[in-house]
Amino acid sequence: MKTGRPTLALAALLLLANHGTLAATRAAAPNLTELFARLALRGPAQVRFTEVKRLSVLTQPLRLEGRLEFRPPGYLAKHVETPAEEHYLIEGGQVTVSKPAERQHLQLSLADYPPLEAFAESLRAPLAGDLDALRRHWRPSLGGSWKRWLLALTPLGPELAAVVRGVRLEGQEDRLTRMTLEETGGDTSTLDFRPDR
Amino acid sequence: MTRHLPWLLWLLWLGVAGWIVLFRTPIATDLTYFLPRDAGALDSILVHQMREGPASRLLLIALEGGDSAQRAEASRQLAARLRASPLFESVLNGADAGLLRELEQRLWPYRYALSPAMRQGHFDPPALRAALQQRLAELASPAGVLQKAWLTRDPTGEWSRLLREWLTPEGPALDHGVWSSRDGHRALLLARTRASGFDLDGQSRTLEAVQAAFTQRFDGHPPAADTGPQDPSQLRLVLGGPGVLGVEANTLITRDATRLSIINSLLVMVLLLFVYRSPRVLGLGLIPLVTGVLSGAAATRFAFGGVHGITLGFGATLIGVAADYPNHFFTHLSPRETPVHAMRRIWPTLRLGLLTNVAAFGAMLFSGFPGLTQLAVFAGAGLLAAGLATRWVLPGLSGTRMRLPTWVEQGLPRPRLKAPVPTTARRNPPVFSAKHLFATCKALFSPSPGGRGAKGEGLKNRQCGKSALTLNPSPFWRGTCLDTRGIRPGWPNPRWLPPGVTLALLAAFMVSGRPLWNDDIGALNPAPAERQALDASLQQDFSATDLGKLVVITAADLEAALSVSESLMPTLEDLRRQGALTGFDLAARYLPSRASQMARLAQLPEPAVLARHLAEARRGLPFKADAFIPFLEESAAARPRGPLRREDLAGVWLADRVDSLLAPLPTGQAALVTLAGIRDEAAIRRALAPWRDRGVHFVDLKAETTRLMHDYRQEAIRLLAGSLVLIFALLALGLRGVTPAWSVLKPVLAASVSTALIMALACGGLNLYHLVSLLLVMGLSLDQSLFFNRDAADPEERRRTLLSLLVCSLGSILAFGTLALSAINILRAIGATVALGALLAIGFAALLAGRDRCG
Repeated sequence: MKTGRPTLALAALLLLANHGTLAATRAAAPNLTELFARLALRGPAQVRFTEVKRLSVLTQPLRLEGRLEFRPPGYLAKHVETPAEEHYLIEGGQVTVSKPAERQHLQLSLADYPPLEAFAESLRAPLAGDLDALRRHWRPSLGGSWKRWLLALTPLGPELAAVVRGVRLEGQEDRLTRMTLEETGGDTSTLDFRPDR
Repeated sequence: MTRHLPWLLWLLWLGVAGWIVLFRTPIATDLTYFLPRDAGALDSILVHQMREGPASRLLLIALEGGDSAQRAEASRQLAARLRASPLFESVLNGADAGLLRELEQRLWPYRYALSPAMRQGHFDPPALRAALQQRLAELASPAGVLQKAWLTRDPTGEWSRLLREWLTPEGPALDHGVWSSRDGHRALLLARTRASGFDLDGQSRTLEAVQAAFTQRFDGHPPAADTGPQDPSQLRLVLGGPGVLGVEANTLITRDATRLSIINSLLVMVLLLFVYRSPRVLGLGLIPLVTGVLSGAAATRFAFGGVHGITLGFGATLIGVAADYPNHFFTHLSPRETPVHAMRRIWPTLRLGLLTNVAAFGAMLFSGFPGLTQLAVFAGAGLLAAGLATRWVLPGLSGTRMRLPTWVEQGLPRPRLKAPVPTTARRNPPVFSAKHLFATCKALFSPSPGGRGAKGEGLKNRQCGKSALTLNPSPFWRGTCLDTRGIRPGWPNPRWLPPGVTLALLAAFMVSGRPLWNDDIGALNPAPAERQALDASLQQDFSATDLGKLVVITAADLEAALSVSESLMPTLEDLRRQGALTGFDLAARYLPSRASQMARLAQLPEPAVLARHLAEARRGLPFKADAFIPFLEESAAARPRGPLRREDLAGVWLADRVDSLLAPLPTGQAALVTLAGIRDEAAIRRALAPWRDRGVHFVDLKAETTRLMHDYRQEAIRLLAGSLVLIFALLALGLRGVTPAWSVLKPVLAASVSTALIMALACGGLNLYHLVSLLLVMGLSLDQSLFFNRDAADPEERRRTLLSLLVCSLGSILAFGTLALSAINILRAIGATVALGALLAIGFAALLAGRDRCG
């Protein structure tokens, strides 16, 4: 069998190569626990964001820019700079909304607005690395690789599902890069994060 | 057979009355029964307010212990459970998001008729543009996801404006999203019960429901570990409000009254056993009392269809006068005659006493307060029945002879009186036989036209006694005077003592300057002081509406009342801005008058015009052209729909709030304005003064109730005076003469006035309970005075009379003395007054009586 030996060698090589790729792939795909453990290690974060809102009633998208601040485990603040200065603070189950231009200061309790609470958790839980809290409101599914992962959240509970179709979080390694909110009416809202310089 | 007839009839009557009372009589507990029947418009609003007004149905719930997160969670769960119960109209705890949805479903279509912003120019292009820009800004915020639903249908934001108006902006502070007290130690809930504050049964059912909901809040899982009652991590439920206080007061009074009644019944039974040494006598003695109470209840049932709980209590107390009747009977029994004859002997005096007592209580029949009329019927009928039972049933049941101890049969033994004992003749029974006496008396007492039943029987008594007993009338007669008069021989005549004491008290009272009458309805509040303090602190936490002061608007019908309210709103707003009050609430805020709703709807332009304005306003803004088609459609439908009516609100929690702010009047409709945080009452009164002729009144409930108490008291005094005149007339008729009548009445008046003065000095003024007790004192002392003055020549008679009066007085003092030891001010007032009155009555009667009889 003069042709048999090269075929065998090729087969062996292919097998080895495949094995290697498989191993490489396994090493490159994160699972939820690992991802959240890494996210938790990140600690406090200060990022700049650009938000683009595409609403069905509007002819053009709304653009907002500002700063996002996170301090584990539960302090999340969104400081909007353009077009109008607004501050949204979530801490300890309370939301504080302040609009200095209109001298408006509002306090809401998240417990009274379950959709708001779920929405807040969809951002806070990954930043804090709190998988259990996330699972209370969302069904997460993770895909992609460590270099670019995609966390898709589908709503649990009918009240939330009536308002939100899903949330997509994209990131690299242990950093969150983009958050997309899809509402049931078709409106979307996309936040892009980049490190604060 | 005729001998048995009386008590057979009596048994029959007892049976019938008992059955009616026990099985066919509803017992009412509505406290407003004791408020006047009729009144002017303002008074009937007052009564309505106290019965069913927003103030009377508030239930303040506070949760203490644990940390604020635990309390907040418990507050939410408790609120959810209570809302599901039919006993509550509304339960608010600051977290009212769920109620919004319900509101939206019903009232959303009416937003253009209700919104106060619907004014001239509201739908012109500039105003529309400003509104659209605001909506754009809201869209940018994350919270805008909630308001987005309204955007395309309500771009001018009427609905959120209405919500801001309706949901209580002033309330307790928020902690974890629920109301909590200033110091942060309590989570607060405000519930409005369906049962009015005066419906004690309904209120206690409601309170039980709250307790049950609180203990079950862990959904069946018991609270973790029994860590003891003082563990701060355990949550505690604290309740306050008028209904709570009413129920607790009721429980306290019932419990205390029952306990004390048992004690004093035992004491009195011991006393009677000690005196009579015969349980049979005791049993017989209960007959008139039981008959009286049953008959009184049955009569009330016939006349009123039911008996009020308070009537039962007070009435049974007043019928306590009848407890003396069998005592008089038993102490006048002599071994020489049958009980039947003994009864015939004392019956005239007893009858006079009975009639005067009935006259005293019956005066209340003419009162304008249904509760007092019922009391008059109860006490009057009961006493009559008790008296008749004593006359007809008791002797028959006593058999031919009663075995009584010597001191009863002969009256008090001599040495106790400390008076000189002239001869031994009086000690031993007279020489002639009992048969002789029996025959003589029988001849005189046998049924004959002139003899029996005539009020002049007293005269016959004397003749009988004289001819039957005495060998030598004069010394005995004179001696008899010494018996009672010379209790302390050698002392100056103590007859000046009663009037002297009375005058001294009068002088002391004038000098002290204390008020005679205490018209403060708060003094009638039986709740203990610390309970009232707790309630006050709860109300502080809520800084809820000032429950004691409100504005009342009277008008011919609902529409007129609402439109006056609306025109008043700017004035009230001004007052709020100035800081005279922190807030106000009125029905017109939720249900505007038809006229103003139509005016608002008229501001909606024609659909084509509105579309044009909208297009112009939209220029330059990133809204799509067809974004607001829903708005155009809905606003076009608004005008044909018409205004919101009261019926359209049915089933929504706002309907309850609106109803509590409206009060129907016999002559029209009243609208109420509740005020919160009144800081400057004078400014409010000044601002409202010009509105008087439009039917707007500032009402201070406390001042009004004091005025009510005052009127009530005036009426009671008038009735009392009338009954005194009637009593005097009866006495004059019965005793055949004005002088004997006056001498009987003197000690009664002296004792009553002295008791009244002492109680006024001690308690800072007489109140309702004192008045009723004084009535009882008058009844008791009339009896005693009558017997003291009874024309009896036989010294033995007089000794017996003295014994019977001592027994009666001791019994009353014991019975009511125990009441005076109660912790509750009502029972204390009644007990102290009657015990003191009984003591003074017998003292004064003993001191004042007797001299007139002596030659």
